[in-house]
Amino acid sequence: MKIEIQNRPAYAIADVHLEMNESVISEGGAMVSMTSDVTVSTSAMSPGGGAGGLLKGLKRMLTGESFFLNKFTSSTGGHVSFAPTLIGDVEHIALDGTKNLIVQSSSYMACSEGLEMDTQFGGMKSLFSGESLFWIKFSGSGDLILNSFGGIFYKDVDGSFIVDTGHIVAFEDTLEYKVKKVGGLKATLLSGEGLVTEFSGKGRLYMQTHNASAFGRLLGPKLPPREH
Amino acid sequence: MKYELTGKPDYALAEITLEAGETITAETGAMVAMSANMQIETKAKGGLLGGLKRMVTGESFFTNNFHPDGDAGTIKLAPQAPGDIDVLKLNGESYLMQAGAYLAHVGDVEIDSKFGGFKSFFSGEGFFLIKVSGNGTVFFNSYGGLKKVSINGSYIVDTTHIVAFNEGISYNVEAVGGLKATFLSGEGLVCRYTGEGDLWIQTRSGPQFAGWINPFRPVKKSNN
Amino acid sequence: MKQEIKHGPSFASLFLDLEPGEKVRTEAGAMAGMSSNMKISTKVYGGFIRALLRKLLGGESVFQNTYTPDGEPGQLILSPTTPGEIRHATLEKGKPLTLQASSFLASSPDISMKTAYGGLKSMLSGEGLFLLKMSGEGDLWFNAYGNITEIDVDGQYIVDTGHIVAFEDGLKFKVKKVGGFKSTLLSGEGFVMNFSGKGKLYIQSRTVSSLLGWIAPMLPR
Repeated sequence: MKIEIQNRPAYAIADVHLEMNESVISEGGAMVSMTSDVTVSTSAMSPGGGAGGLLKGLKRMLTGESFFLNKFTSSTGGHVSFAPTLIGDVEHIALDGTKNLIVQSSSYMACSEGLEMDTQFGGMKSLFSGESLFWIKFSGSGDLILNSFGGIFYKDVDGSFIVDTGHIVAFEDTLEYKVKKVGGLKATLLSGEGLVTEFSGKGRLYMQTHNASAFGRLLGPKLPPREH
Repeated sequence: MKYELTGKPDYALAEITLEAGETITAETGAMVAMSANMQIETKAKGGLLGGLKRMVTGESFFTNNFHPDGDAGTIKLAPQAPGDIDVLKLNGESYLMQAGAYLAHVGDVEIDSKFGGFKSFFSGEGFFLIKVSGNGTVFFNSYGGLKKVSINGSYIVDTTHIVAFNEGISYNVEAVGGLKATFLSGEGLVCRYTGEGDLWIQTRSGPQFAGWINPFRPVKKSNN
Repeated sequence: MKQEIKHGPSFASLFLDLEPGEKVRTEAGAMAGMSSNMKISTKVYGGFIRALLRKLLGGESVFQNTYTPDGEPGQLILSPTTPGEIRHATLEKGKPLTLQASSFLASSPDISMKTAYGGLKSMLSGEGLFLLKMSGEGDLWFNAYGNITEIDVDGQYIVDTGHIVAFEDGLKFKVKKVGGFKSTLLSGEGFVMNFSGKGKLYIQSRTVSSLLGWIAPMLPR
């Protein structure tokens, strides 16, 4: 598998070149275009997980990701392009089995078949921060393709660092995190920052320049109301 | 007419200089800024019937004609969505475009609507495509980046990512895989192109963004 | 203080390294990340009533935050809500800059901010109703949706009301109809700002209202 990221950084897409009989797994709806030798199968499976897929599929639905994952397989060697829903960058991260990566659920776009994928609950307080409750933990070795709303950058945390929860893309699981108030009562209620996530320990934190739910909350109320 | 495309590819703008006597026709609402001598005239292109046909393709009923008064004048045009702008120079060829991809034109260009095929109705995309033909310059835009694909053989594209293609390529709208994949994959319908020609695809999808923003809308209050 | 605008122009974020005692004032909700020794305080700026009006009519926030690092230097990362460009301006005495209200991102704490009203016609146009006149001495950072283009006006120039970001004091504007009666109603351009005088004008390449107009027909019911 060869991964080529084009149109960076604003409207990035990932072109995945597959060998004969090779597959790539993606989030539902991410396919842009493909050569005509590629076939799609859809299941509630988890990459590398095999059986027990349904339960994992259900858990993934709770993370806000689509319940079903698509498996694209090339019969002769070909390519598939994937794009995220929002404008922004795409990053390829190769996992070698020595480090696990915890990914904010909407940042996942695609991965190779060999990776193990499991969901994690974000803790009670993240419920009140209005951000996604679930994280997807990737382990094993293989290729992972993530997307960001806006640009993507990382910070090697050594000590502690505070982030607005909506700006988190992923982090190595050597980092500890807790959700806390941004300041005193007044600042917490009126600053527009509310609850934030504090990371501590040592490890890499991937962040996105823009906050998708803040953008959604800016646009949503200006759109005509929906039926239900 | 001279033009420059600035801000490419992220938030492209078409910056156009017109000499006295030249006119540019633009999609309504596209004007960002202009020199103070530019005059605007609003028309239902092709009369009432033309205006109605434009509405079917998802374009607006009216178009604006801009021309400078006296000296040369400048105008900056932007599409509504974040994305790129590119130019087609027509010397008698015809292209088909997705609704919403047309931004402006200069010259003797005919804009018409074309039935896009029955199935495209279900993909949530416009029922019609726009056909541009004639002699002149057409400015078109994408949501996201523009990627040109030269097709020789066959190629599959998600219908919501299509921007424009040569009229000569044959295409067929179809389901992405088996029945299960069609309903559960979230991929909807794809367009299978065969033949030879150029295709422009956009790296983001409007209907997909619409689906994402939907939960942020207020809910209509029911009366019962 | 060390400042750097990164990931611009499309996804610009402002990275500030502050020394103890240094302060920066920001738009509410703009913090993306910060060192854990940063202290935050929240206040109303630009007058409570005007701020409230701004909130009700323009959707801008009433509150602004001031950040300062405690004890040792600290980092603050600021991002606007809409993706786009950020510009820095150094304000000098007698050289104020007028911003469209949603373009304010951050400033030195003692820059004064006065809410100005764009007039009845700009209200009818549904955009750019509130302007902020920033004056004093210090740093100012402002942002746009899309890219920012600078235009040196000397004479007259016309801008769609939704595309205005900022302009210098040498420029005056009048809100006027774009053309005849028919064009004003049907052109989709409606009211425009006719600038005159001499000075720099900053415009943005996209508007949030066009984005909304573009997406609306694609929404599920």
